[in-house]
Amino acid sequence: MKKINFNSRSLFALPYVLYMIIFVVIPLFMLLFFAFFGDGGFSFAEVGAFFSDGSQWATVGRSLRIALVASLWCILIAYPLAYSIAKIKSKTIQYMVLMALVAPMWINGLLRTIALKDLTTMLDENTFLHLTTGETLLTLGLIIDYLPFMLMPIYLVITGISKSYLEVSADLGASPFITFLKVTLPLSMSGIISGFLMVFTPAVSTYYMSEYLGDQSTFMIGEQLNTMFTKDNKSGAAVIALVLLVLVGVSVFIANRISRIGNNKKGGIA
Amino acid sequence: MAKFTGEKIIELKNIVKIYDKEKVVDDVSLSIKKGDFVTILGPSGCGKTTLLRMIAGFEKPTEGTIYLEGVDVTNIPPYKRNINTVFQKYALFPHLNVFNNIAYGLKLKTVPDANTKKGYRLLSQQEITDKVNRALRMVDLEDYGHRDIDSLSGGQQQRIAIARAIVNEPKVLLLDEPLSALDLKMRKEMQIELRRLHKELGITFIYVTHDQEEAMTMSDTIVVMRDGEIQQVGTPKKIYDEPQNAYTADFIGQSNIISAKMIRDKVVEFFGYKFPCLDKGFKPNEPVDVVVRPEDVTINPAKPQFEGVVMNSVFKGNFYDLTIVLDDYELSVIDTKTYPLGEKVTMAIEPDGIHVMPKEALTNEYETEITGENTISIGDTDFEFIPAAGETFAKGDKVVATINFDKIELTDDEAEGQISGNITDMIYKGKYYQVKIWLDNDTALIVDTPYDWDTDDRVGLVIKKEDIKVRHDEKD
Repeated sequence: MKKINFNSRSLFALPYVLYMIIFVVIPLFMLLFFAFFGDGGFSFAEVGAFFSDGSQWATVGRSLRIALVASLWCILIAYPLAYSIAKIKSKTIQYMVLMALVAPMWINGLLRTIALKDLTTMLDENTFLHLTTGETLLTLGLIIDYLPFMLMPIYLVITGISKSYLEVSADLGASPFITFLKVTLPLSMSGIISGFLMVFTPAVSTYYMSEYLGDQSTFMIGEQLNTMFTKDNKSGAAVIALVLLVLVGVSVFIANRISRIGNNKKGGIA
Repeated sequence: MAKFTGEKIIELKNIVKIYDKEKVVDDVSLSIKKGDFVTILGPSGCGKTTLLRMIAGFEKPTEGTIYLEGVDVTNIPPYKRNINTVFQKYALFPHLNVFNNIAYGLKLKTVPDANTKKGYRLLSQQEITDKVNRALRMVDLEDYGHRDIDSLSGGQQQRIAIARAIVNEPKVLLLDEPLSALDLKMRKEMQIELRRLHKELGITFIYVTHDQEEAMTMSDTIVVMRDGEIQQVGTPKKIYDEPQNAYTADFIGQSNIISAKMIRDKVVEFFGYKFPCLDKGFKPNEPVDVVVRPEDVTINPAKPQFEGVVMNSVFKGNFYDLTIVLDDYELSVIDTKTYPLGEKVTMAIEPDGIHVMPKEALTNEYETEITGENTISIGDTDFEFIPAAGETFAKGDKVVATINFDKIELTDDEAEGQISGNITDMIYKGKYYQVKIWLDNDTALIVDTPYDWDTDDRVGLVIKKEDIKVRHDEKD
């Protein structure tokens, strides 16, 4: 047995270790228990039931697609935004603009979601827009809700790029646009990846968003989970939770791979 | 070696750069010959890096024109100038390996090609590979192409930074203190390496450094800068042997700078003795500065001229660095032999070992204005003065205040001074130190002080009212 050395520094980690055991490790084992021992003995019955049900697959696929589309929109909106903020000369103005963009998060999420629903319904009734149909409203809600999580990591990584790299690039003959493509973009890849994970991961398993903004055609895995709980199907819920866990794990893995291709120095995040 | 003497590759005309109202570069004009190794030398903050950045195109001059091969490039962005830079902190791209760092510029380069529609084309992969490998060979890192940047030592990174610049075959290579982050041994090696590269490539090198030894060993031409102005341009030997003023003499090599009096042509008086020298053209009895290099003083010569007492002797490997005291002057002398401390020795200086320079200024001539009854403003503070008989001054009059260098007292404690400022330059003059002090309103005063201060020290200044002589500014 390894003797535990209680030096002063390792003691600081104790609360976190306890937290991890109570809120992460034990629940994980409970998930596994409910998924495989739900009916008393060990069985693959629940797992098999999930994987043999085509509608379950469709829900998983739909969740992935909606989360992916919302995340990509977030990148498209947040990157130019973060880039322009980072290029503002005065730091004070930079912080003020960031503050203004993050401020909506101070309002309760449910309130924002309901307000968005009312606003888009009103727009649909009075204009040619069709925002509340199909996935549009849900995707819009996810983008608005998670944009700050995409904005901040990209902003931080862009402001962290040393000006000397941009000068070297210009010195070697690259126009500002080429410099952006060949230096700024690859060096900010790690920010895009962390932003992507911070948006995609919660978006794929969102519940109240799809509940309030979606319809029958946007039934997502979070709602499925809720249905299981309301039916008191612990084993079914545990299987879905495990599937989500694996999905998130795989997406983190892929994202890190992409990040490593983009930036061979910093080996990604997470 | 492609060296066409006389052909100007870079020409700077009346360059001024102002940052936040401060003149960092002040009316600099300079021609650089094609194929030369030119070093811009000066202490930190003298404007040398700003000057280099303007040549590269990262900064635009506030006034003046920059010509590259006779073409005005003042407003041309850096990526359109055929000039490459080696930066102080290397700035190798972290997301690219060694090969791709070096190939960065080549991939963007176009070459004339009559067979294509546009008349030019990009370099082929094979051409790029060949050029990169040749550049790697030049900096002795042949097998490093696939390596990551962070797996390289500082010296290797610097070589890659140099390879990345020279691979583009620029007309001018700019080097901004490229060796300052390396240790002494590596620095010496790289100095030789850079010299060799310069010979092999025939490209014009413009090198910026604060290290005078580096400048002396590497350059064909040295440009000495101070406070945004060029002090002197010349070969290392000329600058060493014939410094134009006390500042250059002090900055380049070890030297004795002595206040002296030019009796007549070819005769100068210092230490209370008269010495024959080679300089002429000064007014009779004009106060001058004399530079005597430590190696130009002979101890116990056949024909002694003056004497002193050995106070200190330090062995420096192949010579002794002696301090010899005469009255209250301290003379630094280099000799192959040492002498017992306290021993009286005789000395002589050959006429060609004495270099006479005009004194930069004899007294502070401070341009200011009258702020009240018998008060003037110096560094934003009112000072009292005693007007000369018959002179009348009214508030707002433009005046010149004359204050002798030795009539300003410096205090350690800022609060004890009437005004305060920062010491920027200091020259030891054998008997006292001459310092330049920048006051907070960006005006300067020169002070002779018996104490050894540090540059960047903040000091208080005390000036007695009887030591301030005020006259009307004749320009008005």
